[in-house]
Amino acid sequence: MSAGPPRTVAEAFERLGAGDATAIARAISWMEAGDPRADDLLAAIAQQPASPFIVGITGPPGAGKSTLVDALAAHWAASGQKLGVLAIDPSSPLTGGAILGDRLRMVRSAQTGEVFVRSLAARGKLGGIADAAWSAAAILAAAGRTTVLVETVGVGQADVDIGQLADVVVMVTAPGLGDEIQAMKAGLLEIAHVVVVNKGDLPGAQAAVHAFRQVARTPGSQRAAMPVLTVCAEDGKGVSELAELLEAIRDERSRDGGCWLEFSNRWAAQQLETELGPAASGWVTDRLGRSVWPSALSRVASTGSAHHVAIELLEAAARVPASSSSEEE
Amino acid sequence: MRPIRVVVAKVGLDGHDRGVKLVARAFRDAGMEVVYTGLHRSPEEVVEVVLQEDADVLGLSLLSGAHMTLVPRVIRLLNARGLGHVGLVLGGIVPPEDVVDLKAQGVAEVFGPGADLGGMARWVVHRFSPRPDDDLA
Repeated sequence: MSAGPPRTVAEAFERLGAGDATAIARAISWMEAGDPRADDLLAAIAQQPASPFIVGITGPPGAGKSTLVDALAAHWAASGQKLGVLAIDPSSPLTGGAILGDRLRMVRSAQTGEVFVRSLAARGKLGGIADAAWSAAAILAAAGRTTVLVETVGVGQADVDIGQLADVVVMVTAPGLGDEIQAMKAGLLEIAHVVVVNKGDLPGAQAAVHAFRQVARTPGSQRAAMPVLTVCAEDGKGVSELAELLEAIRDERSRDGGCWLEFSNRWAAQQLETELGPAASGWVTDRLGRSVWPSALSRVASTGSAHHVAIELLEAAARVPASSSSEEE
Repeated sequence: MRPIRVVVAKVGLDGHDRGVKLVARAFRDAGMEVVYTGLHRSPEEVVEVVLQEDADVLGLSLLSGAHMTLVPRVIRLLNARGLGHVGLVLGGIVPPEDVVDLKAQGVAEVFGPGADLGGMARWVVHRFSPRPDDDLA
């Protein structure tokens, strides 16, 4: 008989380390609810070297994102990898409720206990869903699920969050979704690393591939080498090629040795941003100069608390007389 | 106050999902987060979803008459996986004498086919709203 959900931070941390799914689930709930135990748990997690590889899967509705996530997850699970999936849907601005229907399509992953799937509702977060998804990914990684697939709806412009959160962004589209190529151009140029044309068996798939390759070749685009793949997520065609591509990207990042350091710094930056907010951050930069940030981030990463560092920064900035503000105007 | 998380599931061979989709929408309109599992799920799969989603409530939709075998199995699985705290409600065609039996086993309520959706949603919200002394308020 399994134990019920953990009640204390210590219990949760220990059970996460053992990969316990109930602990993962409850820790994510603490985080979503703003329960103070989540902050302490995340601070403890940030000290540990378990860095997730986060793959963002985004694209217009109807592209087949959930089916692709399912196929990708099942492919990796079959090779023994432990994964997490976060399926993000909007909350109703009127009622605060949400229909979280993405996991409906995750049939293959459901058959294997190797894939932990959690649906997250945006819950009207001011900063978007990135914070919550971030923390959830950290929790999953602490439980040994170091590859995390994050699925959201978007065509790039309103979807800046996923670009901030993910190590690699896969934009999924399909033929017959209307002239979404125009809408996706900005997103493709700004945040996507890989484009997948799903339902590759339908007419129009090759034309879509061609069109996206053109977009990637736009002068000034830093994504000139952006790969465009075709898959058929439903029957799995092309999925192993996509998985290989993503693994190559992951390995390249790890080789820099910075995977954990990068995660730790990104987490620290996010925490500090949340504590300070844009106005205070701008004011601190103004009074103390940009050079104050790297050491501030290290202090957040090593102490696990952004709150005290934020207070220190604000106090230090307040001591600088307005007339001798930094030369960066 | 955080939203109530409900998993709405269809278990077994019954293939009718129009009603359960309407229920999902009514629950959303009442401010709940609803995870819908789709058709033809096994009890084991449904309980796994409840666990991963840390659901407050599981709503089972059963129109096939198999409730007296499926429901006890789900209850056993919930208990075995440390999910005894999760509320359980049923929707479907259930004879009154079975309702008594099911409630004795721990089902909180059984809603028949003609049940008013808004009323059902309000009942669930009222019954399962987090209380101040709950561990996850």
